[in-house]
Amino acid sequence: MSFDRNDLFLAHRGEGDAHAQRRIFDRWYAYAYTVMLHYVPRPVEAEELTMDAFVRLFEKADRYDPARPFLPWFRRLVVNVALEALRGRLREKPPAVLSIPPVDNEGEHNLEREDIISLLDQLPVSYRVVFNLFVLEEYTHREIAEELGISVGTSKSNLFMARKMLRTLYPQFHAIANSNL
Amino acid sequence: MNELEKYLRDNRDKALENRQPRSSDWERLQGRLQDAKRKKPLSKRWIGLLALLLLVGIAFAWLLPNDVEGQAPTPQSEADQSISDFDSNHGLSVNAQTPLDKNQSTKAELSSPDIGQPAGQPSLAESQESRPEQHFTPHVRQEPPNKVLENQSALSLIASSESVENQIAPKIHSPYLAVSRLPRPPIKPLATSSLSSLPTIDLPLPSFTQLKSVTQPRFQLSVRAEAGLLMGEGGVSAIAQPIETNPVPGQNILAQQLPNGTPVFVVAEGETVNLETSASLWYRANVGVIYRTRWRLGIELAYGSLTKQTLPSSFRSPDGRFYTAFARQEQAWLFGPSIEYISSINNWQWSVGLTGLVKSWSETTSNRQLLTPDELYSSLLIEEKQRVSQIVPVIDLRAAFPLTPSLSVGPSVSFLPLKRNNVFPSDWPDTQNWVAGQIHISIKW
Repeated sequence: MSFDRNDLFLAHRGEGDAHAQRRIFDRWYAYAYTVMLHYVPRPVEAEELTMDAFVRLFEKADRYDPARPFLPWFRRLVVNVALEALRGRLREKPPAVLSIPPVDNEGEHNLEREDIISLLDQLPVSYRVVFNLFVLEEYTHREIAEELGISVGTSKSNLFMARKMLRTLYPQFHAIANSNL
Repeated sequence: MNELEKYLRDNRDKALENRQPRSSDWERLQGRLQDAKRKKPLSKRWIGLLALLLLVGIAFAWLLPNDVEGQAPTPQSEADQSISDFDSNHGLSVNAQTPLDKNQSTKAELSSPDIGQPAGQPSLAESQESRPEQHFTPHVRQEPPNKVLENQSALSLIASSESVENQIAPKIHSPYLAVSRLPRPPIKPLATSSLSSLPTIDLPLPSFTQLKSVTQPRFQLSVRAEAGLLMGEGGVSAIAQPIETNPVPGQNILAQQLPNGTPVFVVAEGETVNLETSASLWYRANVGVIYRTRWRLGIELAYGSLTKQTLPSSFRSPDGRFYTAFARQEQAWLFGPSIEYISSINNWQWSVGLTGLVKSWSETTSNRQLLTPDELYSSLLIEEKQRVSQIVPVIDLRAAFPLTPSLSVGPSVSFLPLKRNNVFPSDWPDTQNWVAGQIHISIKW
């Protein structure tokens, strides 16, 4: 994915160059929305938070170090927006009854991203966030604990429960992952 | 790692192909950006307004006279009035030449052609008895004039007068005055019998000019511990500040008291005293909230104690004539709001803090002076306690380098402009600024 640093500079400076902002938005919206969906699987809410992420991007563009790759920095920014939105929901208790979404599963490689996202949507927020931070962002449990303000033990427990629920929700996933759980 | 997790990780940077931005998305974003622009100046205005209010409050408190409880009577009140009355009634003339050059001396001529008691006037003894008891009472024993003359070079002024004060006080300048915040003792009038034989006294005074503020550098080591929104800090500071002594050979004797009664330090001829030392311990406790990740708003409670030693107790002039020792102890409680802005550059976290503290302090001052083997002044012991309240803005600049996630170390600078206590003489500095350079260790858990 290409990235025009000059656009980012123009998008931030002064009132913000609308043309530069538009170019950045068009180029990065799908990516930001996809990242957001893993944390906030409901499309409407994910769209709103993606907007928030772009507002923050244009506000904080001066903090971007051009010597470093843009993608990890932007991803981190989007994840931070998601975590801030979810911070108040981390204490929610998991639902007593889990609803299993209809998935046409003919093998693990036929999984579509939307299918996985709909699976993640079934997880309680606290499990989903820990699962995403561990799997997607490759955080350690200690880093997750510091980020979310929970103990390392809680982080490990939430990851275990997330995997367990995914196994329950999706037998195909269970078959694939059985040896590793 | 199972296959699903591997699949997620491998594809985490791939965007969904079926979700490209619509024109309505862009329009919504523009609306958000407009909202953000409208809100941003508002929050800045609020912060500016709060800062302005804080500054106005500090300035207002700064201009108000201090609330002094239990302070000792100042010489201008009763003791000076008594002397002034005595002077006018007895024709006592006091002339002070104030060349105020290091190579010159001030000559105060005291003469009393008629010391008889005018009719209708209360006697001096009566007037002394009728005065309320002074909080501290210098013990002065008058020696015969020949003894006084023998020790002229070591003498300090033994009488005070408004006329002398008016001529000399505005020209007073010394680092001594900046660092020695000793309350001014009241001067007892001399016995009438001794006034008749008062000689002309050479008063060697160094050249002084008035200081309005002084800044003391301090060196501190502090440990700060943070747990959630709680922050505690404790540390120790020390100061070693050169003070001006040993000016010009033959003139390096500072008066024990200035003509206006202000106590200063006596340094013997040929003696060098070049350090003032003090040590202090302090503790700060702060409870705060984080606002928008970078602002920390808190309430702070602090306690500090300070011990200052100006001259070593073993100080003695080469000829063994006199020595002076000065010590001061101070305890202060401080309480007030704090605001801190936190940011980071690379790995260094830095912060700027402003704390408006209401300071209430009690102070004990001891001044022990032994003068001459003849014990013209055998001893002078002043102990004074007072309680003063004032608002002190504290400015902290701090940088911290993280060694581990929970441990960081770095330099910091604190600035405290302290207002002079109004019990001090008018020719003392108005403010005594503390600039404290610190090494601090922060522990978080």
